[in-house]
Amino acid sequence: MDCEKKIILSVENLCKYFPIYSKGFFAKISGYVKAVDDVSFDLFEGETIGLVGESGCGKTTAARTILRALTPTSGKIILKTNGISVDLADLSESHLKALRPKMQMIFQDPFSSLNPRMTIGNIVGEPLIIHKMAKKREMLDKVKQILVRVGLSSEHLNRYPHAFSGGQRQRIGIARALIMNPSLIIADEAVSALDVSVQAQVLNLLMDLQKEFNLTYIFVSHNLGVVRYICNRVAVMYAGKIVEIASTEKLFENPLHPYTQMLLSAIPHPDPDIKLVVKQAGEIADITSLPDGCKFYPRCSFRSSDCLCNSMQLKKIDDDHFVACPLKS
Amino acid sequence: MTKQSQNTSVATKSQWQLIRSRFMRHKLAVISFFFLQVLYLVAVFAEFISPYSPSQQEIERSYCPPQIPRLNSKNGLYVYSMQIVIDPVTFRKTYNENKDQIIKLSFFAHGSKYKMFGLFKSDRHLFGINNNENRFYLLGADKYGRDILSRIIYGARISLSIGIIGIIITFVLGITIGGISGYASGKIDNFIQRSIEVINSVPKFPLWLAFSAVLPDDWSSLKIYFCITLLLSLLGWTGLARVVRGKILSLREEDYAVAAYLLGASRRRIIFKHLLPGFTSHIIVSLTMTVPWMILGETSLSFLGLGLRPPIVSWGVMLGDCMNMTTVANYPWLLLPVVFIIFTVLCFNFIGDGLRDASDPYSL
Amino acid sequence: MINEKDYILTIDNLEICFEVDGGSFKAVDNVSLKIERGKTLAIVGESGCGKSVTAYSILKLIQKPGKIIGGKIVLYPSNERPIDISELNERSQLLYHIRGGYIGMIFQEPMTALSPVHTIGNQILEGISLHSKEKISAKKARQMTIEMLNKVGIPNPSEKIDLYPHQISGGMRQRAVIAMAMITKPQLLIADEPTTALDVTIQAQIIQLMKQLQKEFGTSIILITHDFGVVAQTADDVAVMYLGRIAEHASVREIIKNPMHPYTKALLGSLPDLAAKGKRLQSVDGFVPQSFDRPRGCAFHTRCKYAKDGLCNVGFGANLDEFVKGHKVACLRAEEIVNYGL
Repeated sequence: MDCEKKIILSVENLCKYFPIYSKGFFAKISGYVKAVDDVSFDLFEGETIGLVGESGCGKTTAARTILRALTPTSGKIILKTNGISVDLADLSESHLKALRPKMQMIFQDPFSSLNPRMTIGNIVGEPLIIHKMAKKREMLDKVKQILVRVGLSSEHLNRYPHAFSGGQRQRIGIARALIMNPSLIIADEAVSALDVSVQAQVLNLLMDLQKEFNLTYIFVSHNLGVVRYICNRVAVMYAGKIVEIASTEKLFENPLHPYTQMLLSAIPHPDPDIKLVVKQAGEIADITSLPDGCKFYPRCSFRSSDCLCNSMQLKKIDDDHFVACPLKS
Repeated sequence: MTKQSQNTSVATKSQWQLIRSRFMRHKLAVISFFFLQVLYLVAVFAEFISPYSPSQQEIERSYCPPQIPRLNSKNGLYVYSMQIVIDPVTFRKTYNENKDQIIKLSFFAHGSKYKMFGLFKSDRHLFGINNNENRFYLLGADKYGRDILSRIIYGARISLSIGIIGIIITFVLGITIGGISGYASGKIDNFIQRSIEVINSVPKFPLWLAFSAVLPDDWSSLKIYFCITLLLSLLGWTGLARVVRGKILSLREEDYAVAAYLLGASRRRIIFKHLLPGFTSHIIVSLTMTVPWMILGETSLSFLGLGLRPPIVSWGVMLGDCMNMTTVANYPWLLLPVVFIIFTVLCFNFIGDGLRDASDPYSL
Repeated sequence: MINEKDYILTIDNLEICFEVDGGSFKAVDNVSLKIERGKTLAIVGESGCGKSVTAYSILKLIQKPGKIIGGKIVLYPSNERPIDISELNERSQLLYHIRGGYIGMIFQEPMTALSPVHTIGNQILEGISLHSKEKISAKKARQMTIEMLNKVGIPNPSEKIDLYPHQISGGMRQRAVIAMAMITKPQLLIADEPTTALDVTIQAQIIQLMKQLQKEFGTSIILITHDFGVVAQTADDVAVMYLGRIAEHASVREIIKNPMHPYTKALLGSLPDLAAKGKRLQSVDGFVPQSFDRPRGCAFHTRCKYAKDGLCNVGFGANLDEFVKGHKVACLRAEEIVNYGL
């Protein structure tokens, strides 16, 4: 479907392992937590991809590693802007700085993501100062423009974050991310902390901005209702791996991976006539002790002994539907 | 409408303004702050405020008890003069108030000459007796007939300033070392933290003993004063360094620090522009809490004769005079510096409390 | 019409006031609710609407600077005389007995609801020793606890009973909290956002567990939540609250299929789950005003697209008019909106 579209980001075999230290004075590395394990996907310009999964599945780590807030253990993160491809994975900090304006992040917690000691003007205008893109006067003009664009007033310039509600703060965070005209924005649970009506406002705003500035979003969320609404494609993560990636329609209508099926069946629908039928039970995986083969094996009701030999490679089912389950290919 | 405008005014108030307005609500802290200001002013203008010089002796009036000032319309402010009775057997002096003979006190009286800040010569004192023949002791006299009140006022200079100078050194050491420890992390952090533990586990008094033994006897009192300050701060920075390290470690994980990093901000900018302002209030609180520690440190050192020594006057040195039980039992006014020490330490603690409550950005 | 025996709890004209610097405001204003025996009432609303305060007031758990300044809360335990909770003294023995005995409570964050220094078994046991009428031997109590753990779906209960909260997973902890609340077989359960902190798969399990327990014990539930998905799947009746007042109160089907109050309509319109893909969500404009800044008249009129000057900014539908049977709306224009399809 999106084959002719331009690829803006391609993630190849991305891994992020956190060392586990043994206890004691001379702490030695006794193992690794594979928070992100061999994740690959392409991102097309102007689309929204959803990254979903339960808590601890590695979706936030993946997002932060892609933006190089964390240094990846291995793999490639190739960002293509203005016809140039750069691998972010092994870029030095000074080179990264030049690329920072192209990719930005919107955070989950609207309270901790804004520095309480800075005025809104300084928070939103900071990127311009860092990258020497504007002088003070010019900066304030630009900040005013962008504040109005995200639905705040230019009078808010001299206020401090504590004077704003959660929804307003999230708008400020969006303004800060937008001011440098990025092409890629990662929204890490950007609407999860907001009330329903405010969440709707912010979702509308994000969609409007996407059209206006041709933005590409990676939308990290555990809220499948929101993901279904806003995303073109969805990647389902489990224990650091992508288990299924497909266009939103295909994923929600025809989920193939047993985990995706279980996840979707668990959503309580706001229509009382659609009854909740939970497919399977089971606990969230303990990421420190997983089986060698399919990570979902302990919770899966379709499992067979072959599954423990399966390496969880994504297999193509359809043009835009990939699944990492041997039983479904 | 008024509610609205109030809201707007709060909205544009910076963190510091908010802290100030919240601090003002903490009654006890504000009162303490006021008293401390008075105390420091008194210390600064000691020459003028104290009726006598701290070393002015009058051996016949040793251990004169406090004379209570009285007021009436005829005489104004006055004290009764003291009659000395010497027990013929024990040679012990007893003082009796002679109600027939009064000593008038007057403000801006002429007294002993002094040079204010080494600049202005004067002989005016805030209050005193114009007639130089007589003496009065509002808070009593010590063994040599020196005025306790004057000595407390002069002693405040040393005792109060040692805390301030001490925390300046503490501040520099604590921020630098704690900052390095917090931001560098890894091996450097580990090394600094273990060193702090070693410093903290060194028994304080033997160390002080050793140190004071090393100090040459012929050093000027000023030199000794600075050495003691340095010693106190060299042991006192560890607490602050830990506060700074802990704060940097926790704030570094805050989303706004990550956000600044993703915007391309340099490490220096993140530390100074984003992290440091986030806990300056904590540093101030921690420093306010350190001052009384310093004051107590000086006092206990001097009391034991390890710190400052006469002729320097400090509260600790003054307490050194009441080391034996009989003095304390017979002349309890020698213990009056203790009252001032307690008062000062309490004031600092209340202010620290008030600041801590006020600086929490999420309480309202 | 109202037969008191049908209800487990009634709240009449509850008013709760919060005193802050420079004045006071009503966090809960004139709230009346009736909870049917064996049914689930969901109180829905956005943060700051007073839903939690209302629920906590039932147990008199309002802390300073909050204060209940009016209203009547009556509990009707089965086969016992009604208890007027609002009249009870803060320190009365009966109040302690109501908390945990007649009325159980489940909190949002299972980790903070459980003490980290006691085993889950001992924490559940405490309810038996505090609230049972006759003396129960330690052995019997332990047996009851194991049974309860089994009922809430904790595998190997006889082993899990001796574990500490940090040794079990988040979903198991919430099950333990539910066991703690249910061990005394309370007649009413107050669940404050019981699934908000949980993952969606665990949430589904907890929802099913609560429904199953309700069936088994006949417990009535007051569910406080902001999630319409959870409401639709668990509640029988729904009360929608906005800025301390009830906007709409009806059966769950009525509320979701036939919302009458503009605020309820707006809330449902902003649910992405119900929206068609690609279409803009019908969000409400503006922000929820601060509780101390509640607009005069109908609190919602500043954001309401149906608001009529001279009507909505003067009064509000204080009496919750009933249009369809059992469907109450606090909107002065509800009739027009319903009849003319505005």
